[in-house]
This record gives sequence, C-alpha cells and structure tokens, in this order.
Amino acid sequence: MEFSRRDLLLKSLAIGVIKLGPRMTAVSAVESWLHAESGVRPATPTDQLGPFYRKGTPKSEGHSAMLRAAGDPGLPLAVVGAVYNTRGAVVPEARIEVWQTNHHGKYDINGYRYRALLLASTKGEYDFQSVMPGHYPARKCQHIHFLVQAEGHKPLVTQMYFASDPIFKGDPGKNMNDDCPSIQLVRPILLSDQATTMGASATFELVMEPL
Amino acid sequence: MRTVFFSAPLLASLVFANAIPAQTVSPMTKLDATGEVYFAAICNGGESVAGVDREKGIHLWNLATGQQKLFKADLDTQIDPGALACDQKTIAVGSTHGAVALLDFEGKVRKRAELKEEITGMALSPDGSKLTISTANSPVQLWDVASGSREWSGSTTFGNSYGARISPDGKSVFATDGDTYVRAYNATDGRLVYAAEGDLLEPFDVSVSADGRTLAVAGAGGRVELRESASGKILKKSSSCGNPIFLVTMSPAAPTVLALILDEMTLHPAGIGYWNTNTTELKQLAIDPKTVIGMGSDAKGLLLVRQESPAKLSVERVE
Repeated sequence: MEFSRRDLLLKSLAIGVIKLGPRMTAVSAVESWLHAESGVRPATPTDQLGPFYRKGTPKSEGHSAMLRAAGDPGLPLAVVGAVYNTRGAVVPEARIEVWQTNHHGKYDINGYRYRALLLASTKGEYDFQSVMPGHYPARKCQHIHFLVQAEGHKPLVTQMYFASDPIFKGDPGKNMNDDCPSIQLVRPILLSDQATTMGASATFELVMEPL
Repeated sequence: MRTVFFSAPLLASLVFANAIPAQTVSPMTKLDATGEVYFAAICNGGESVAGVDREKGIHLWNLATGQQKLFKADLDTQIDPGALACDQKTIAVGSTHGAVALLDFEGKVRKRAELKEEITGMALSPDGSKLTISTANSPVQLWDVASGSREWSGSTTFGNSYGARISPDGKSVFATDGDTYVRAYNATDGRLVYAAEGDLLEPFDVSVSADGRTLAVAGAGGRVELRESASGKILKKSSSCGNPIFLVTMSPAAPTVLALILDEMTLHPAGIGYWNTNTTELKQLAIDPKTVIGMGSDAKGLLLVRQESPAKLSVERVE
C-alpha cells in the first residue's frame, strides 16, 4: 500500500513525529506544509470592500505606517506581513491600503485616522502599528480592511480577523461566524510585554492572483 | 453591505431632531401580510408591491384590490434587502449565498441561477427584459430575463458595484461602484461609456429620472448628487445628512428624491431624506425610519412602504 505525501504527514502528526504549533489543526498544518514545498500559495480569500472605504489616503513613508497616536485607547497592535502571488513569488512594491475602526468601533469618514497607504518593500514586506479594532453593531467581528494593488495582478480586496475575537469563543475552527467569510482570514495574535504596556501582534500574508 | 436591516416596527417613539414636517406622508393603501415582511419593492409603476419575509416567502400585492399572493422560491438562505426587483410580470430575488430566482406573478419559478456570491442588489429594465445584478465582491452584471443567462459583466478598478439601474429606454446601465466611480454602460454589449469620479466615499445607489436625462446618486458621503446621465457630470448636490445613504428613488413627476439614511454605526435606518433638487437642503421626513421597508414611485410621485405591525403594511404617498 502506497501512502501519499499528505497521508504520510498526517500519519506523522498522529504518532507525534510532527508536533503542531498553537492554534493549528492537522489539516491546515499539512496543507501549509504541502504549499510550502510546492512553492504555490492559495490566493487570499476576498472580502467586502465597504461601506467605509475612503479614497485619497495619504501615502506613508516606505513600507511601514503608524496608525495610532500617543494616548489612543485600545490594545496596541502590530501587523506584519508580505505580499506574494499564487505562484509563490514575492510581489515587490505592492500598494497596500488599510483601514479600520478605532478602539470604540468608529471609522473616520471625514479624515484618515486609522487609515494608511503603504508601499510594500522590494521583498514584499509591510508592517503597521495600530490598535485592536473595536466592535460596531453592524459587524459582529473585529476586522481590518485591506486593498492591495500591484501591476500584473488582480486587485485584492480582503479583511483580516482575529482569533482572539470573543465572537469565536476561543476556537475559530469550531465557532466561525457568517460575518467572517473564511477561517483563512482569521489570524492568531501574540501578546507580549513591551516597555510600558502590553501589545499584540499578528501576521497577515497577502496572496494575489496574477492576471 | 452585508448588514443592513430593515424594519423593527413599533419600537419606542423616536424624536426626530432634524425632521421637518414640510412634506406630508399620507396613507394610500393598507396591506395585510402573512409573515414579517422586511423589504418591499414597488412594481410596475405602482400597480403592485412585492415583499420578502423572514421565512424566505415572497409576497405580491395588487394595490388596487389589496389581494395578496404568497410564493416560495426555495432559496437556500435569506434575501438581502435590495436583492428584490419586480415589474409587470416578473419578480427577481437573490439570496445571500448567490442563488437567483425569477418568478412570474403566479409564483412559478421561471429561471434559476447560481452566482456563488452574495446578491446585494437587483433592478429590472422598464420592459422587464433585462435584469441588473449587484453582488458583494464583483462589478455589476446584466442578465437576460427570458433566457436566464448573463449577457455581460462590468468592470471596476477594485471592489464591487452597489446600486445599478437601467435607463427608461433600456439602452444604458448605470452603476455605483466601490472604487467611488459612477459608471455608465451600453446595455447591449456592456461597453463602458464613462466612469465618472465621485465623492471620496463610496456611492451606494443610483436612480434614473423618468426622462432618462438625470441620475440621483447617493452613498457614504451622506448627500445626494444630481448628475447628467449622458456624461456623469454633477449638476447639483444636496446638503449632507451626516450619515450614509443606502437607497435613492427619484420621482417621475417632480424634481424630488427620497433617500434611505442609515445610522453610521449600526447601519439601521436612521432617517428618510427628502430632497427637492431646486434647493440644496436634504430634509428628513417626520416619520419613524425603522418602519420603512421600501421606497419607490408611481406616475404621480414618491411612495413609501411601511410596516405598521408584523401583519399590516401601509403604502404611503410623499407630497
């Protein structure tokens, strides 16, 4: 009897040869492993653009942005990631727009607070500092909007969600909500002590489809 | 927008600080409803009203007789407010999971389609032969009603189309797009005629005047724009109500526009705007917006459909 690569990885997990990191499921870990080996990546699922997109966001310097101001309420949040395409190649200098609510769940529709326009680095990297977005009554899940555009690629409109969101009751795998279209958009957060305050960080890789 | 809810009737009375009772809202017809109807559309120049209820039932009332028919389209999930259109012989509904059904006025499902995307808006051409479909993630599509097939899809720089309407002569399709543009297409072949730049925020709906010469466009910016339909050029703007506007309807009889205003945080109805385009002021009608489940017009002017109770609707004229 011949085993596929997938079967062998699952078997290795079952007997403990491979150990899972926190919040990983056997299936997602094996899929990630196979994707890493093959070099291809699944496209980031799309999500709705609106209704609070505002064009004209001022461009930040380089591939980093600071969205929060000193004294802003809310849990400090750092988001880092990189832009790839489905062939596994880095997409350099993609134009990334991000927007979110403040800690109280309110979008700035008159200005550009908690909005940024970044240009990914030549290695596709980006990062920004913000606060954990608040809940607002029209949306059940905390989320950050992304609009990614790069030459030769289909624009990517998506949203990032947080595994720590109370809506998932500690287990997004079991408690997905209709407000979030895909578990692939839900990211674990890492809490860490910073110099003066607690902060959260999350990674969100963006995978675009070539035209 | 996935979370726009209509109708929470008979809540505690609200105080409408900005409401100006300069316009009168007078009842025309009362309709009995079996089931809680949460969204309704005026059909066929005001001869009928179609509505959808929480049990996925589709209601059709003849306004002259008050007679109600109740149909089931066997849709997989709920129908979004907006994903309902009707004319003199067809009712089109779309589900949050992408199912589309075209029913005749006897409730028979004539055509079905699966789009695999949340259906957020629909509009029929005046002759009932074409249907625009808006979805959560894609540009506007034009469908042929008789064959139940897609004829073309529009384009955006990014994001989806929200509102879409077909011109009275059936030759043009107008769409309000997430990338903040208002686009016009040739209805026959889908050729883009223009992409007109708009507000910094997204436009959510468009309505075409009876003569086809002007458009009313409104959205997240909270004001209504009157545009020239041939070019997309802005002719006039109303004042801003400070909240997003989700739906607009132009009167065929007068230079007036109704606008459904949503609360920015809840996306629930927060007001019904009324704009006489000869002025700049966007007034708010002195009615409870939470009771409003539909807007439209007949030959005489603007109409509202309100829910008086879970079992009673009222069609009202705005003058």
